[in-house]
Amino acid sequence: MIRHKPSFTLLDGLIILLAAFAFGYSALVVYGGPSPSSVVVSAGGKDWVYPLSENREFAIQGPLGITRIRIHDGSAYFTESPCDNKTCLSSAHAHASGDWIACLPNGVFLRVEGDATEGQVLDAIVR
Amino acid sequence: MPLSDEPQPVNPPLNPPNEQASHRRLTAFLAAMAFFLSTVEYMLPRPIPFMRLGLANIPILFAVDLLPLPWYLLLALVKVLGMSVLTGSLFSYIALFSLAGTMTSALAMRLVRRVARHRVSLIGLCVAGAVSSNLVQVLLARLLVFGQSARYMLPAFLGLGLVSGLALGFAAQRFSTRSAWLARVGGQHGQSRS
Repeated sequence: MIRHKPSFTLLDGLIILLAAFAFGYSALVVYGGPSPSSVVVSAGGKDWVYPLSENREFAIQGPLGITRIRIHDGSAYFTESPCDNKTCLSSAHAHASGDWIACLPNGVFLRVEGDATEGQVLDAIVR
Repeated sequence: MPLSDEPQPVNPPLNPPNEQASHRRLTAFLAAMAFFLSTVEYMLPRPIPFMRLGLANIPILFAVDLLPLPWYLLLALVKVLGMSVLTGSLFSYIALFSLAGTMTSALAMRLVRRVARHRVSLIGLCVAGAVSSNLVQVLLARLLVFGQSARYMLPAFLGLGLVSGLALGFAAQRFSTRSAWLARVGGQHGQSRS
C-alpha cells in the first residue's frame, strides 16, 4: 500500500526553531549571569546561601532525611542522600554560574550563582 | 469491508473487523511495545542525570494517527503506569511528574496534528511532544518542590527535549516510511484521526 507521508516540512522547521529559540533564550538568562560566587541551596521553601570560595560541608533536612553537601575548591556537590535513585550524587559538580544539582525525592536543589552577596564575609545567609 | 453497528454474528466466517475490538487490540499491542521500550531505556546508561531519550513515547507517536482519542489517552495512561511499575516509582510523587509529562506530550502531539494536519511530520510532532513534556515537568518542579530555583533547570530540559525529540522523531519518521506493519495497521485504522 502506497501512502502519502510528509517528510520534513516547513512546519517541522518552525517547531524546531521555536524550541531552539526557547532553549537559547533560557540558557542566556540562566548562564549569562556574573561570575560564580555563591552556592544557593533550596529546600522546604527556604534558601541558604554559601560562598563558593570557602570549603565546607553541611547538611540539609528534606522530607526523606538528611542530604549532605560539600563545597570544595570552588565546586559544590552532594555527598550523601536518602533518596533511592541517587541521581543527585552522580550529578556533575556545580562550579559555573547556572550550574545546578537537584534531588527530586528529597526536595533539595543546589545552584551556583553570581550575585550581590559577592564579597560579603558571611558564613551563610538564610533567605 | 462494510462496518455496521449491528451486533456481529458469533464466530463470523471471515472476522469482519469490529472497530472497537480492533482499537483495543492495537492499544494493547502499542502499550506492550511501550513497556518493552521502557525496559530498554531503563537498561541504557544515562550520561547525564535526568537525561532520558523517551523511547517509550514512540508507540504514542505512532498512535497519533492510528487511534481515536479515548484509546489514545488510555495508551498514554497505561504507558505511565507500566513505566512507574518498572522503575518502582508508582506510589511516589515522581509518578506524578511522569503522568503530567506523558499526558502533556500526548495531548500536544495530538493538538499539533489536529491543527497542522499533514503539513507536519512525525519529526515536528515528536519535538513538540518532548519539549512540552519537559516544560510541564519543570513547571511542576517549580510549583511542588523547588520553587523559584526550578527555572535553572529550563535550559537543560529544553535542550534535552529538543535533542531527544529530534532523534526519536527522525527515527520514527524513517521507520514509518519503511514499515510494512505500520502501513498495514495505518490502512486498517485510518491515517488522520483527530
